[in-house]
Amino acid sequence: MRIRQLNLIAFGHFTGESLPLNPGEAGIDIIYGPNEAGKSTTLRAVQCLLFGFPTRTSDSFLHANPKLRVGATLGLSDGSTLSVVRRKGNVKTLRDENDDDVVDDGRLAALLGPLESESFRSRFALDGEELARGGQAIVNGQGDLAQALFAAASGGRQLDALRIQLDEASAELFKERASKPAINVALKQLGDLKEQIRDASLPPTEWQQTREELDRLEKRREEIASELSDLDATIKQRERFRDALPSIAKRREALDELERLRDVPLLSDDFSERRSSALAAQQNLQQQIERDEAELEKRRAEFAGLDVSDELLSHDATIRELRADVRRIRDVRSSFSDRARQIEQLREAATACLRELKWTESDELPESMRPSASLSRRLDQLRGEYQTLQEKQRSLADRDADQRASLAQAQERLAASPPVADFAELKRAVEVARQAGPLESQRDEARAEQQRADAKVSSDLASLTLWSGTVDELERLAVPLDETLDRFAQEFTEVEDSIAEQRRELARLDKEIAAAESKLSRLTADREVPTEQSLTIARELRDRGWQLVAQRLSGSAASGSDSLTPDEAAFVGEVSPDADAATSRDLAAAFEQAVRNADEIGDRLRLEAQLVAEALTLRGSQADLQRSRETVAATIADSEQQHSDLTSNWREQWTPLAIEPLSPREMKEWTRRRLGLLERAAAARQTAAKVEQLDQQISQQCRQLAAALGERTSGFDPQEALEWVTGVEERGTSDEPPAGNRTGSDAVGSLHSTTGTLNDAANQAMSGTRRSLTDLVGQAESELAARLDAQNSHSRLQEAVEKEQAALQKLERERAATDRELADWQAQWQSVVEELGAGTDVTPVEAADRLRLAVDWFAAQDQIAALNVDEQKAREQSDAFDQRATALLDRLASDLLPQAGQADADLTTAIEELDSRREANQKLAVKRGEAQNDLLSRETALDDARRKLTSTSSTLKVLCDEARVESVELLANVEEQSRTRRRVEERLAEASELLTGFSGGRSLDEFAEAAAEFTQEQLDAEISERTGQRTELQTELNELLGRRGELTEKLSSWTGESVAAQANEEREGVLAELRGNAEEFARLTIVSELLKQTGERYREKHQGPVLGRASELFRELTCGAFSGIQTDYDNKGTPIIVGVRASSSETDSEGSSDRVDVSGMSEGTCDQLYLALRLASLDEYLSQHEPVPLLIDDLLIRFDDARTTAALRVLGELSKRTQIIIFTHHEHVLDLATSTLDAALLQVHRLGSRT
Amino acid sequence: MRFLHAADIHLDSPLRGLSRYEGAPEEEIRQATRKALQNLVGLAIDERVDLVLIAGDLYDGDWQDHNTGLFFGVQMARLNDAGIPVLMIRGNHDAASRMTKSLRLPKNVTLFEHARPETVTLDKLGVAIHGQSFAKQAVTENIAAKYPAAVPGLLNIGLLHTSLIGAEGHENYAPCSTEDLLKLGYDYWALGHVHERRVINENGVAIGQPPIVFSGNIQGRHIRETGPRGCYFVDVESGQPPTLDFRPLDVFRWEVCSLTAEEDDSTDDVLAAFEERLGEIVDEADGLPLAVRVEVSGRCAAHAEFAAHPQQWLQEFRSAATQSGHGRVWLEKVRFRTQSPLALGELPDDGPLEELRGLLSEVRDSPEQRDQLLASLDPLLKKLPAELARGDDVLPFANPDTATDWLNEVLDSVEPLLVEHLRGEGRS
Repeated sequence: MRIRQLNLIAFGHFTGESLPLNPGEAGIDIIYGPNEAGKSTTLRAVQCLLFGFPTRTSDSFLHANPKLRVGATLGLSDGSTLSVVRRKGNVKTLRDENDDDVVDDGRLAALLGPLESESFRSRFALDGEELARGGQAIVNGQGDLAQALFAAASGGRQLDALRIQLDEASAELFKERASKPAINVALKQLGDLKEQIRDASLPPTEWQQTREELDRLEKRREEIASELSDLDATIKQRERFRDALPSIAKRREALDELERLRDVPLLSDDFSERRSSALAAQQNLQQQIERDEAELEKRRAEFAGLDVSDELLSHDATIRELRADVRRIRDVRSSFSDRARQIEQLREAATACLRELKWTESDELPESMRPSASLSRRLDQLRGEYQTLQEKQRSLADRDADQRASLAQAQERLAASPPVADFAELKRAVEVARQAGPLESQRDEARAEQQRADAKVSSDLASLTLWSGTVDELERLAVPLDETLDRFAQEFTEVEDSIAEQRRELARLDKEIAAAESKLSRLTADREVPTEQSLTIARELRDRGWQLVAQRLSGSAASGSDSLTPDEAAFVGEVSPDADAATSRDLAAAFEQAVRNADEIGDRLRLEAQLVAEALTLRGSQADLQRSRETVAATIADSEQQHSDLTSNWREQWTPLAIEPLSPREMKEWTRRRLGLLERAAAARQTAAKVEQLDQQISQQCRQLAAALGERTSGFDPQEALEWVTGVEERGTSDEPPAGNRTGSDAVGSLHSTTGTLNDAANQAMSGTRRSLTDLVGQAESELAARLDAQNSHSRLQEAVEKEQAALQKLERERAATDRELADWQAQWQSVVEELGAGTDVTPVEAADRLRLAVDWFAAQDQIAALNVDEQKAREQSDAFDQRATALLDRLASDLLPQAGQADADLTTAIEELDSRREANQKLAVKRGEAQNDLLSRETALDDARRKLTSTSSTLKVLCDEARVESVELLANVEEQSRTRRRVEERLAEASELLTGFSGGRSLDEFAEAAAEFTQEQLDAEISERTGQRTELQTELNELLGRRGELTEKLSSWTGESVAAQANEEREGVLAELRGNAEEFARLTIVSELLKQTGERYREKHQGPVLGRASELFRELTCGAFSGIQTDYDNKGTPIIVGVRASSSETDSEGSSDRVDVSGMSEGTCDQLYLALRLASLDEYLSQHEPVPLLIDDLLIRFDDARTTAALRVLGELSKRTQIIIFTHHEHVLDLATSTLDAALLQVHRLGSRT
Repeated sequence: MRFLHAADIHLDSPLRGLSRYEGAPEEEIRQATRKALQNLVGLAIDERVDLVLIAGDLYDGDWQDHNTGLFFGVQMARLNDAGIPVLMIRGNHDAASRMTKSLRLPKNVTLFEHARPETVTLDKLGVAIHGQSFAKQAVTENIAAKYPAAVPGLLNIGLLHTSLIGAEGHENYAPCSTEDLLKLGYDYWALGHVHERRVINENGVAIGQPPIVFSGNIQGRHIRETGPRGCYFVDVESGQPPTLDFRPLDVFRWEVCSLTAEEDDSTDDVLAAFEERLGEIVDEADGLPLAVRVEVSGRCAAHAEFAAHPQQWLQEFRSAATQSGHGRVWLEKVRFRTQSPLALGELPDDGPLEELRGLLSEVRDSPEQRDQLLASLDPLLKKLPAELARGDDVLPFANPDTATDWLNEVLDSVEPLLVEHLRGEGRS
């Protein structure tokens, strides 16, 4: 399969680019272009064409994905062609030449054999970079044959590189003798963890042994404790025996001595003391008794000498009482004379009262006349009331007179003020006028506005172009709609724009046609450019010539004849129409000429291919341009026709209006202005209507006001008012604007009718007035105010009269009340005077005086009575004292009684004397009492002493009894014996107490008996022995307790913790990781091994066919510097490639020294070695499959000129087997190719003309 | 009468197969079996049950840390304080454990004899429990056959560690048939040994037979023990058939997340499907942390990527799990079982790849070549610890039974890797 033409319809930056490629059955296309010209894009285009677009493409930056297209015409090996277009997509992407129908993918797939997109690219796209990489890889692989062959077959992919990756990855996981790889690390961890688990584990046996030992220890501890307890008991007992031995001896001794002293009484401790104190007391008492008896005798004598009067003593209280009365009695007696004087004075005063009262009936007033307390109070009260009432009566009389005077005054004033008539009508009229507001000024403003509007309307109408008439006519005009105008404007713009644009296009086309023409004429200026057509004609001619020659040679024609057949002659003539007849007769020469002609045209076509192509292109584009120009011209004509149609259509719109329209835009402005004008005219009419309405209102109000004033106002003449109104009307008329000012309104017709329709002259007048209505309202208002004032003052006067009348009535009521109170008082006074016993005519002051005198008299009488009572009492007291004093004295001291003659002898003095006698007797009695007491106490003391003496004697008797002796003298001896016995007993108690401490609850005798079985020495020995045993046991116990503590601690430290379990969990994690890594390592190892085997097998299979061809190619590519390639083995036995130097191989083909390792080759040579293998590989492919074009991109950059030439030659050779397309941006490669390759094999294309 | 029936506690047995990585909920798996046991005790106390039954396998037989036993003792003491008796038997795992022999347990715990079946009567509760411990690991005679007949008038419970007959995947320990058990006329059979909880005779229970119950283990320990784990809370009203209520006790769950990719699914699609499914699994886990195994299968576009770079995709899945599992999910493993969406005939046939394909197909057909390839792993196998080289957790290529399958998976992954490399997209 060869690509005859590649169409970059829409791909990368290409649009409609077409690349005609070598049409022959062999040949190289070199596509030359600088960087960015699109070489690699073209390369991708081929790949997309053959295998479809990848899902993501970088070539859709200009043409969107759905638009992407690559097409080609493919020459097939059976001579047929296949034209296809490839679009981007998932299915049915292969389409026919015209992109109309789907083409079965299978048709293309059949041509591509086993290739798919990637393997095509790796095998059939070759560039300098791959070459360098391939060469380097051969060096890196030290010439490894398998690697080299594999790489050459797969576009330079290194199988080893993958294997190295895998091996590196597996080496990170595991190495047999290493520590770092993951698996090795994990294995180490597993070991460590196993140890950790073992360390942290508590073996059940250990636990059990510990537990059992602890149990044993516990049992032994209990045994020891029991033994120790026994031992302790024995030791303690023996020690007690030992310690008790001295006390036992002492006790025995004491018991013996007590036996001897059995009969000695045991006297109490204080016996001696008791005895000596009793003896001393006996002696002292005897002496004291003697002394006291003498003294008593003496005191008794003294007592007998004291003389006291008991009679006097017994009346002590009476005497004291009388003595106390003495003073009072003396005072009583002195008061008698004073009282008599007082009574006399009182009697005189009473008599005076009677006199004043002019009481003559008797010396004294009857009891009935004694004034009561209530009477006095009532008298006082009535006296006060009487005064108040009198004053009140006077003051009321004064006020009454005043009130009557002021009432008369008020009544007079009211009579002077007349009443006011009704004026409601006037009030309403004024209110209506106020509510209507300043109607006149409103009317004036409205009128001015109307005039302005009229003026504006008429000026607008005058300035409206294209049309003339009245406003009404203007309003009735049927103007087209705004939308219609817009539509026309739009259509005009579109048509005009399109005409302008097409005219520009036309100009551009003309320019291009001219350019193309001049270019073509330059190309064809020198000679005719050959065309394929001329070649075909020449070839047909040649072929016809050959048939004629053949016929002649086979003799089928007129054999032997030298003359030319008509066909031949025609042929000869055609071959050389310009040649002379002599030469033209020769068929052979003609045929030769025909052959030469055809060849020449063919050669020129080839040699001048670029020229030819260019001319072809130019002609083609010239025709295209011409066609385009015609199309454009036709379009312009259409558009112009459209424009004129539009214009006439436009005019028709306006014909009914008799308007010659301007452009739609201008007409739109015209209609806008018309509308404005109409709106203003409407506004003016509205204002005129308002003026008329205001005028009517004003006239109506004037009428109402005049009526109200005329009818109701006194002092207002209706006639006068009417005249005044008429005057106003006349003045109003003159204010009417002159008719001449209304020309504007007249011009636009019946703009306002108000002025014209005024029918009432008065109304008309008033409507023009400004001041009249205002004045009328003012007058009405002042009239109204005056009437309101008058009405107010009349009301006030009336109120004043009423108020005075009311005050007078109130006063009269008060006076009546006062009279009633006075009458009441009089009645009360009557009763008081009667009670006082005075005449009713008595005045209150007199009544009061009388009352006071009566009171005074009764008071004096009362005092006198009281004084008499006192006198009586005093006499009685004095007499009583005398009686009691006489009786007492008679009994106690008759010597003090007055003798019969002494009548008025004062008994008080006698009583005083008696009292002094009583005092003296009293003192003596006290003294006698003291003496008696002294005697009694002395007698009692003496009796005591005597009793004590008796008691002391009995005490001594008791002591003798206690001591069991008869006489006191023997007591001292017994006392001594008793003390001895007591000491012995104490010793015994001491010893017994000590023993009790040892006996441990047993009786002392038993204990002593038990202890007696041992001697001191025996006991000491036994105690020492047992103590030794005890110490041993104690030591054992201590050790045991220590051990037990250890074990207990150990057991309690085992708490069921999970350290080992956790380590085990961790170990499980490491195992899992190890497992994963081990599987991965195994996978990597196996894959690596498989890849290695694959390479080997590939080598084995392809080594033969490929190496032979590669060897030849290598020789050619190195320009014979190497004679070829051979295989060898490295020291590991791996097959490797070596080069064979040309010089040596001729002389000594066996010599190994002529072989050159890849490491000994230059970079360039390595590249060539790789290229040789690569091309040989391709060769092998091509020998088995349908050919596929080889795309080469800047392959030879590292080659020198000679080797580049060699490489081009090799490629030229290869191009006979498959199409080769070389992309380059190196001019010299182009030059070398041109000079190296047969022109027929080479076709050059230049990309990048687009810029 | 209410009691708990638990078994197979395997105290301090670690959770298996969880390779540590950043973002995995490490804290949550610590001492999971201990926490589960604490949950059992807590449940018994909270529910004030009358009895706790443990049907064997308290410990792993080879575990030699007495601390484990002490921990158990502490937990039993809690039940003792609450006045709850515990009756237990030894199973195959703890029969030989020295720990069981030396452990001193509180007085509420009764461990049945191994010489002959015993009957413990709890008069207060009106219950008779019949049981026998394993004397050694492998008890292969039918010990149930010698269990005494039911005590009349009492509630009879059988406590037995057994694989019954033909429990799949289990040794034939204390074999017996359901008929053997039913024959004895007990009211409830509390069985241990099989870790999957199950009422053996569910159909029989419906017609009035006593339930024969495996309570399963109380904490899943590896990916073959998925779903909630715990004990049965059994309530027996006098004269009524027992009612069973499963109560989860586990603190960490195991789940398998199976994903079937569609033909057009890319790696991103698969990852998105995974996150969605994982979200559901997390929601269903009662708020517990989870270990999840992912199994991706199906013919899909993502196959080549997964096959070529399983380790990198494992990391992707792990971080996705950390993200959408809110740090509570531990990705145990990701198994890529995908296949190429292209049929073999559709694959382009090109030089080097053709060679590789030829080689792979030869290896698939040739045991010798397979052995030769596997032999290249011997240096590794020699170094690996015993757990991975044999036994339950043996590595797939170390086990002759699985090596071929494993190798075929590896073979599947070579071509995508090479294709990618040939396209020049190889990762470094």
